[in-house]
Amino acid sequence: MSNGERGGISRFIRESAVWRSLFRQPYPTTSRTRALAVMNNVFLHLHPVRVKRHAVRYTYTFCLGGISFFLFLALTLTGLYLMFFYVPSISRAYQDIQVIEASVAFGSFVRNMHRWAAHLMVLTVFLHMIRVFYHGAYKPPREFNWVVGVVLLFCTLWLSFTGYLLPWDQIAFWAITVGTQMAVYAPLVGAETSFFLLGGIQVGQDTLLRFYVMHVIAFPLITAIFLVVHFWRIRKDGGISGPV
Amino acid sequence: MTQHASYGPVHGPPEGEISRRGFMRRMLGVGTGLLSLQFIGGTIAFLWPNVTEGLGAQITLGTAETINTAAPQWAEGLPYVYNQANLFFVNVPAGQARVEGEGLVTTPIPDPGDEVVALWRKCPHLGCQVPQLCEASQWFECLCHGSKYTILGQHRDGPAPRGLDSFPVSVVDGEYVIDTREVVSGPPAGTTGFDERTTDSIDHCTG
Repeated sequence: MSNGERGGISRFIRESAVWRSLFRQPYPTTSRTRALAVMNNVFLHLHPVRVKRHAVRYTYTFCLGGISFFLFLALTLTGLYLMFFYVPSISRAYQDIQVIEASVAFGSFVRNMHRWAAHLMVLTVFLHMIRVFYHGAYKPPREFNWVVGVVLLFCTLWLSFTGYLLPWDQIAFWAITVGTQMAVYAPLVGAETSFFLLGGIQVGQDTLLRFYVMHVIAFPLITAIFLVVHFWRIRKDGGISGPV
Repeated sequence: MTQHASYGPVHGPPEGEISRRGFMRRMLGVGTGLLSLQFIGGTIAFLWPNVTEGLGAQITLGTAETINTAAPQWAEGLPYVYNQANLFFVNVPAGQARVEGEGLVTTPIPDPGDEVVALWRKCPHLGCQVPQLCEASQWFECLCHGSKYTILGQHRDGPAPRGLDSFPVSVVDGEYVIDTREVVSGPPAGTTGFDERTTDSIDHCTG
C-alpha cells in the first residue's frame, strides 16, 4: 500500500460529515486553542484549563477525592451488573448471591469488585476528609464545600449500610437489626425512625425492599447530585487549596 | 472600581412599606415553602410502613383446637412458636403444670381459655431471638448473653433489664387474636409468679 492511498483513506475519514461533527476544530496546537478545546467539551470543561503547580503534586492530595469518585463510578457500574441477577426478595436474595458467585460468568469477580470497592470507598472518603482537615482546607472560602463533603460522607456510609443487608445472610440480618435498634435511642422520634426504616417492627421483606431501593437508586442519585456541587465548588473556591 | 450606570440603587417603596415586587416574592416563597412541606409530609405518609400481616398487625392465631393440632405439646405446656410474628404463645395453666412437674405433665390442658400469654421472642437485652424453652430448667434462656426468663417471661438471670415483652391477647368467637401493634413492656426484674426457683437451684442450657 502506497503512502498516497493511506492518506486518501485518512483524508476521506477526516473530511466526512460524521468526523467533522465530532471534531469541529483542528488539533489544538496553541495555548488559546487548547484552552478552547477544554472549555468547549462537556466532559473536559469540568476541569480547570490551567492548574497550579502544587495542585498536581501527588503527595499533596494523594488523589484521595479522585480515588473516591473513581470508586463511586466503579460501584455504580458493577452494581448495575449485579442488579441483573439479584432480586430483593427474602426467598431469593441469598440464593441469588450464591448463583452470582458460582454460576454467573465473571459473577464472583464483579461481586468482589463491588464489595472491595465499597470497603475501599469508605476508607478513601475518610482519608480524604482527614487530608482536608490537616491541610486546613476546610477554612473559608471552602467551609461550604466542607459541609457538602460531610453530607457525602454520610451518603457513603448510608450506601455502605444499606448494601450490607442485601446478601440476606446472618451477618447482614443482625447488623441491620443492631443498627436500626440504635435508631430507637434517638430522642423524640427514635422508635418511629426505626419503624420507618425497617418498614415494620423487625427486619423482614419490607426492610429488604426499602434498603434495596435506597441502595440502588435513591442514595446513588442524591450522592451524584452532591458530587456535582462538590466538584463545582472546588472551582468556584479558587481550585485546590495550596500550601500555607 | 468602575460602576455601570444601571448598577445604582433600585427604586424601592418608602420606609415601612412593601413594594408590589417584594410582596410577590414573599408570596412565592411562602407558596413554595408550603408546597415543599406538603410534599415532604406526603412522602413520609406514603412511605409509612403499612403492616397488614406478621409482627405489627392484628394476628388471628385460631382456636385452641387449631393450635393443639399444629403443636400437640401445647396442651403439655410447651409454648407454641408462632414464627411469622416471632412469638411464644404460652398456655399458662399447662405451663404451670409443666414447671411444677419438671417437664412432665400427666393431665394435659388443651383449652386454657383466656389464661394465655403472647411473649415476644426478642430478648429485651440486645434483641437476640430467644430459643424455645430449655428442657433442663423450663426457662427461656437467651443464647447470646445468657439472660433467663420463666415461662411467663419474668426475668430471672442475666444482663437483660426486664422480662420478655408481650402483646395483649383477646378471645374473639373462641379465636385467639394477638394485637402486635402495641408492645407491652416486660415486667421489671424481680417480678415473681408461680415459678419461684432460683438460678442456682436448677440446671441450665446456657451459662
